[in-house]
Amino acid sequence: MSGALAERVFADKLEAVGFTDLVVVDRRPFGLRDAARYPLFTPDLIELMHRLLPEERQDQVAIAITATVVKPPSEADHPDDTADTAGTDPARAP
Amino acid sequence: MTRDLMFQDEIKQLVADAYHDLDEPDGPGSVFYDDTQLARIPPSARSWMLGVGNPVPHARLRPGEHVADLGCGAGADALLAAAEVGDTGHVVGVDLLPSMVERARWFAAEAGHDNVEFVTGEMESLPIPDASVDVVVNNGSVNLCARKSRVLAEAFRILRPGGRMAVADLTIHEEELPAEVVTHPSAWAG
Ligand SMILES: C[S@@+](CC[C@H](N)C(=O)[O-])C[C@H]1O[C@@H](n2cnc3c(N)ncnc32)[C@H](O)[C@@H]1O
Repeated sequence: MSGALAERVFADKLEAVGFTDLVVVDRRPFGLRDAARYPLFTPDLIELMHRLLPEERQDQVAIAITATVVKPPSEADHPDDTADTAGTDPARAP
Repeated sequence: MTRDLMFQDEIKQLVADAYHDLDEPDGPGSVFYDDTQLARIPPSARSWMLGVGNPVPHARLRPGEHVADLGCGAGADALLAAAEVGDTGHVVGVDLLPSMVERARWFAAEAGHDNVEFVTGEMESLPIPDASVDVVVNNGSVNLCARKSRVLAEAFRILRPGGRMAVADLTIHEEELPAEVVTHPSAWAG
């Protein structure tokens, strides 16, 4: 969790590598009670967070997001309408 | 080796050790799934669900599609994807730990899927060819990697143009957690 990014930074990184159409489809608060169910958070870390985090923060130590992104189609998949294809469009035939 | 590279290696080792040493957990990630989905996952695999969301429905998989599950753990999402893409589709799960990969293979055999394979590998350097999958799913593993841009670039590389990714992960508030928490050895792996 200490490697987690802020949502904005995560979104920037997705876009920086070329992804588009980012949609965050779900956001859920992830609190100390959630963390305690994961064995990776050791009891001493949970105890430390209980002690150090203000009470109002304990129900939302992190936010679990689910997001979708798209790798843009290549230009070959979407040829430019104004290119050579104009002459083959039956609607434009003389 | 630069300090940063050492730091990255240390993080990878710390994460690998934490997941390797796990005793059977009680499926904390299973709470994000509905009963229909859980019925598709062998009970023994449910206890190894360690994700932080339920990305597969958002991937809107179609029969015949090729899917990669990155940081697949014991493979629950890969099994759900395998059921959706069917016999004409294919799923590959990749995980850092050979022990997780073994577990995932075992659960896939138990679930009776032969359109799914699991391989040991790093998300930072995927053993998957360029533009070879339609969909990437990822549940709870990007935050564990020190080189996140590299992981995202690898996901981009293996997707065919027009492909999509559904990712569930932890994000943090803009305000920092206390330093004692951030630097606690188990805070990176959790
Ligand atoms: C939080 S668990 C989630 C597992 C699975 N996606 C699930 O939903 O149950 C994270 C997984 O990512 C794997 N992992 C961590 N760092 C990795 C890396 N650099 N490359 C590949 N897998 C990694 C771990 O071994 C672990 O199985």
